[in-house]
Amino acid sequence: MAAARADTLQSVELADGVEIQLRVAGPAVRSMAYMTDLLIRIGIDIVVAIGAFWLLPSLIGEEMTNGLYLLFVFFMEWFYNVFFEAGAKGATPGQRSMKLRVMSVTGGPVSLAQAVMRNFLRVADFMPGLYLTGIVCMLFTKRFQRLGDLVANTVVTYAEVPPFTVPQVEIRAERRAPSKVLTREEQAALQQFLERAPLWADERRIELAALVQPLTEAAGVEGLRRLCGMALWLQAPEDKSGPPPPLRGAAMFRS
Amino acid sequence: MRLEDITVTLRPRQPWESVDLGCAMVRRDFGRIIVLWLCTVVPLWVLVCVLLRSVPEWIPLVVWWLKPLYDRVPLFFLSRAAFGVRPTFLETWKQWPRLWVTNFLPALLWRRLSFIRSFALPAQMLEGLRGAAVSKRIQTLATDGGSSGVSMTLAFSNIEFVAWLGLMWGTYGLLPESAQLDWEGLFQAFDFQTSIPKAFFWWGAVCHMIIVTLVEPFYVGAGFALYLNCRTRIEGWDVELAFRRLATRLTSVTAALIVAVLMICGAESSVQAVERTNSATDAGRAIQDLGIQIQKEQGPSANAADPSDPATAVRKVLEEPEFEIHKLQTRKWVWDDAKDKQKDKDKKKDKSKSWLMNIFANLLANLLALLFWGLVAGLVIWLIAYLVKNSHLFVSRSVSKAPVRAPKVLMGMNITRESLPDDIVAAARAAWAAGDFKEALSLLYRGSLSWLVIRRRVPITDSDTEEDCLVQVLRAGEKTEADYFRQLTGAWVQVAYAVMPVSNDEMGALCDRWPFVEKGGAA
Repeated sequence: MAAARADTLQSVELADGVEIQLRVAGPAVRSMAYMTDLLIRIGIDIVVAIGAFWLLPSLIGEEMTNGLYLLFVFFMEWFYNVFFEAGAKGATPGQRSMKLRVMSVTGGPVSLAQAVMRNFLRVADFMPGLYLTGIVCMLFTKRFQRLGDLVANTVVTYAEVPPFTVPQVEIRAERRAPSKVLTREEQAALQQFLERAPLWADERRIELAALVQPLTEAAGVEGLRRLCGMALWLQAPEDKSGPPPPLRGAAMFRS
Repeated sequence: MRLEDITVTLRPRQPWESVDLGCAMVRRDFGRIIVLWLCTVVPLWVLVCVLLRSVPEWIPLVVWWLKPLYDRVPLFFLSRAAFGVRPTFLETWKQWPRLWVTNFLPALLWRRLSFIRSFALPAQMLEGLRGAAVSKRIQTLATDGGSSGVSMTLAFSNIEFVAWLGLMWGTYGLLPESAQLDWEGLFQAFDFQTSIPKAFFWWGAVCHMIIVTLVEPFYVGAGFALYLNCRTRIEGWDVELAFRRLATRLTSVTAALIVAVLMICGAESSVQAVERTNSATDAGRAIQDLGIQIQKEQGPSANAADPSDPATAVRKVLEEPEFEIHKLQTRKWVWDDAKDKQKDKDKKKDKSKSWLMNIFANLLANLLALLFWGLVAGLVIWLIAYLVKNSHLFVSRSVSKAPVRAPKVLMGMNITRESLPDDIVAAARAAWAAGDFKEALSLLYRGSLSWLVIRRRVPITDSDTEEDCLVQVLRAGEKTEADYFRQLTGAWVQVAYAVMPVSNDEMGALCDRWPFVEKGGAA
């Protein structure tokens, strides 16, 4: 059942047996990034066109300016993405605005060769018009890859984990060791409870705490208190600082 | 709905990530969804097409406007599939009328242009609310996920529009001429009535339907996933799921312990054992405690081999290869002084023997060294010999060594030594005296070429002309020979091509100055 669970994390097993998980980005957010890039590119093209046709014709002639400008547009079209994706950030300005980046499937940064390959294959993805192939391909591949990505072995991923902002709430609960040995997942769940409880209503907190009565061996508010105490204990088994500091998380939420 | 059966991984996600989750959910079941879609939506489209057959240009707009209706069946399927029950075709079929009727008017009228259409749809359809309650619920949800719902709608309408244009662009060339646009009429006369044929509109409508079929399920799935994410965040579904699993695990462990204790101790002591189990912090330790207690009561030898004895069971488990303790030992080699001294003593004992051995060993070592150096010297000599032998491979082409294969025929003339008389000059003089000027000069010319090519190895090839020959000789030959050859070539060209005889004096000079003889030989 666990294998059939749909998830956005895609695990990749590397050559040395290490398994990493990629936060791959789907067609919707990528299309937004592409739109931003397209607008930036068109903007630059227009600005350069105005500048060039204003200054250059008197110096080098009309036809020469035309030719140079066409060359410029050509390079913008073909190397804009290559330049930024092979660079240090691994993302074009549009992708950075959506907090995306291009990665090799192995989780490393893309090489120049990969960047060239995935972008030159835009021609194939463009077929039969306006990226139809690319869109369909992205919708139906597991890692949301278009043809260029498949060939160059790259993925587009989310660049950063956003900080989870939690209101600062003082917890009035006594640290206590959990009465049973907990697995890692269960410990993580306790932490999640402690961090996100301030977002929930009182009834919901008590309802959730009542679910783990076999662990807390108490019902109602007492169960909630014990649960928070255990979560605090998991954060730090002993209270090191003398007076209780305002901790991240929440327990007895009457401030 | 049972949260334990959920088939998606819940975790508070970023909005765009949950949109991706929706895409992944739809992709997982795309086949089934598309079948349901074809059964429910296509009949409606056929109806629309029949009704609007005289004005096909309106079909895409109507198809677009009716979208909220299509969304419901995929949403029904997805919401069931997310909790582990994929509805069968018949189930969905039975639900279909109810799905379309629920909140039907608001969806098609004032909610149609809502930017959070697919995000709000689960609230309308799945929560069983009606009227004003729906609006309130949607407002509540929108405070948390509304903005992401809007940008998601923008993204998908972009994708849909672009894909539609792309499909039309890609297939336009395949249309028959009667369906193609009359560009001139369109742009010069702005005559939209006649320049766009009806068939073009029909084709555009069909393309639109294909793209809507492709993209709309993903849009619905993305909205549903956003909704799930929203509720996961504000209700802690992932925490609830983990807590439920934790509770299940703990209760099942306790139950197993009770059963085990009952088996060992019998009914009387079970109550006591359960208490003990509950108070122990560690289930494993509880088992061990019990085992020790039983051994104390019944004596160690009584049931040492009893397989149901927990202590033996634990010991057995610990004897498994998985519990074998491996150690990595590093050893450091240290000079053993005591042993060394002992050896010295031993050495002194048979000094005479070792003295002989020493000489023999030295001799052997010297011999081997000699052999080695001999081998190295041999290798070096062989290498040098090899290089000298093949030196032509390394030295660049020099004139004197160049054409090993000298040409035998030049400009149609045989220049081999055998084809010429022994004394060329004498033969030339004789021919001259006989009045055959051409033969005389030809003899001289061939003779000189023969000498230059064979003896001097001037790099002349068989395709060279007189001019080329002269250039090569001037470049490579000695000064006297080159000067002579230039004069001779001039005379020969004059006689052979211009058919103008040279003077007697010149012929005489040429014969007298003939330089191509062995040094010390007579002219």
